[in-house]
Amino acid sequence: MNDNAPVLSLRGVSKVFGDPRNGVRALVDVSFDLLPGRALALVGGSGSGKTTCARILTGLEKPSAGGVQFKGRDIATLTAAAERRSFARAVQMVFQDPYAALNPVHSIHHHLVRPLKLHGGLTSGQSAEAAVAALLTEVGLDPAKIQHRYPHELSGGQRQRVNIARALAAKPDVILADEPTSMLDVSLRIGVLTVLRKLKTEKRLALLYITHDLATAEHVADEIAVMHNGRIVEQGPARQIILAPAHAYTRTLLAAAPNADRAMRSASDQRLRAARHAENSAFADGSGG
Amino acid sequence: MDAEAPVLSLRNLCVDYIGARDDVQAVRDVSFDIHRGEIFGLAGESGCGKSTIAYAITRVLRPPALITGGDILFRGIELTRARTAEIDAIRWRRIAMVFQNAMTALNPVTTILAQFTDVIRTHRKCSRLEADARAIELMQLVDIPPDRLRAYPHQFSGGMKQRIVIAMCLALEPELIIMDEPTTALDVVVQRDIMNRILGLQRRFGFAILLITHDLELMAEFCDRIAVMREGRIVESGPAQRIHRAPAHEYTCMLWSSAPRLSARNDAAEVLP
Repeated sequence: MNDNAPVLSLRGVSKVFGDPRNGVRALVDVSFDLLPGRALALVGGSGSGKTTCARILTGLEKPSAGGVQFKGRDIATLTAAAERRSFARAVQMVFQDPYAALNPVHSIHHHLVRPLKLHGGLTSGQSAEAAVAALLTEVGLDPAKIQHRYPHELSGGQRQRVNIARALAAKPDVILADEPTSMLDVSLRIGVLTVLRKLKTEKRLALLYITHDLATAEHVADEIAVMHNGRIVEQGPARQIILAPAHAYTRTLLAAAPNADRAMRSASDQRLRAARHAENSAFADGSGG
Repeated sequence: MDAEAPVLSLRNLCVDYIGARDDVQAVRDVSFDIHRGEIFGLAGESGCGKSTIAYAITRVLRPPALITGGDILFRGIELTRARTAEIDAIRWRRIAMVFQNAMTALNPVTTILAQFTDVIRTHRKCSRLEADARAIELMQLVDIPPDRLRAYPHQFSGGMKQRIVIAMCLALEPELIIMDEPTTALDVVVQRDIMNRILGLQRRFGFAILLITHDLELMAEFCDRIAVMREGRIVESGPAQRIHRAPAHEYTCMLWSSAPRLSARNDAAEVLP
């Protein structure tokens, strides 16, 4: 089998929510491949269809047209329990909200031991303890300090690392990360993103990174696909999309990103405003007062 | 001329959260001024005390939070010791606030119109008709068709809801608007639309803005001056572009380096002399 064959692909997927004719067309003819050791960033505004792609890829949602290929097979044909389980093991998700994704009544150790046992992630002879410690080390956490703690005792960044470790425990082929850092403090973001990028390379994971932020997409991903109104409008190598965007919507996204270099409030502007205030303060045509 | 007194002055403000064993010093010795027509940014990560400052200014802090020291001067009125009646006369009318979450800031069970008239008629003597007319005017200000005043919050997108909240803040022509993470839940395109609108309205009406966010890049683009907070203290403050181009405190440098920048930006920056 080809080592670089796609692990997971969307093939001509469309999705309509509600009435088939008048419903919301969330996805229109979307196709892309996730390859081992490669990261694809799906970038777009709210409602562009990014999360629907992820839900269809995991089988949580069924496409209205088209299909999902897992190692060359349509996932709709995976009916045997063993096949379903092997698919569930291979495709893992890291969710947006690290505060809601862990069970508050269980320790971190419990969160990691369960998938290890459930999906047979323990190599022969390896103890569960050693496996948990290895997972935590992999995501840059100190096992001795972390494993017997409870979720509320950890920061958002630590929790998101635990979520990544939990995904790794299943020995997946694919990780789908939906806005994994948007709820984290700025100083923690780059650490989590760097862990994802490192694991992708070291473990030859296929990574789908979903975001509306082109800067982090460029940091994490090899390729970027830009989504707008349920369609992929542009796809290519990350740097090429950033430096030479071809589609108008990609240029809109780039222009919309905050840019400290573009000071909207320069000193001359301040003097201008001061002068303007002197002659014209607040609403001229007040009501009532 | 800048001889004019600031709209808002904080002097050595301290706020504690009283605990069973230890007190948490959420705000320690914070001082800054905001002038008329100025956009002042307060940057920092969660837990640094920036929202606590906003709540102290609007006097919505509730126990266990306690203002333990310092002054908040707003146009000659000392807010930390002002009586409730004085605060009521200032809230909305002179100091308005846009809260963090656009999705939950509006009441889900009443129409937008009812929420506009509630704000207007609570703080100003006027007839229902006058309040309605004002609501129409305010919706036009943020480019939402006034016929949608009869709609409920869930019938609007996140960006439209935030525009409505901003319009409500403008209802009584305040001198200061406090914005706590006004665009954090929105995507970048909607964020830019909201920020450009805020800038336009601010230029037109001249109110001062206290902008609270963790996004330094956004702040450096839209603010005149920035203060960076950490663990309740201001570690550094100055003109926005100075904080961007020559941050002095190591924590500010760390914040800058933890957000990846687009390579297009960095390449452009390298070309600059």
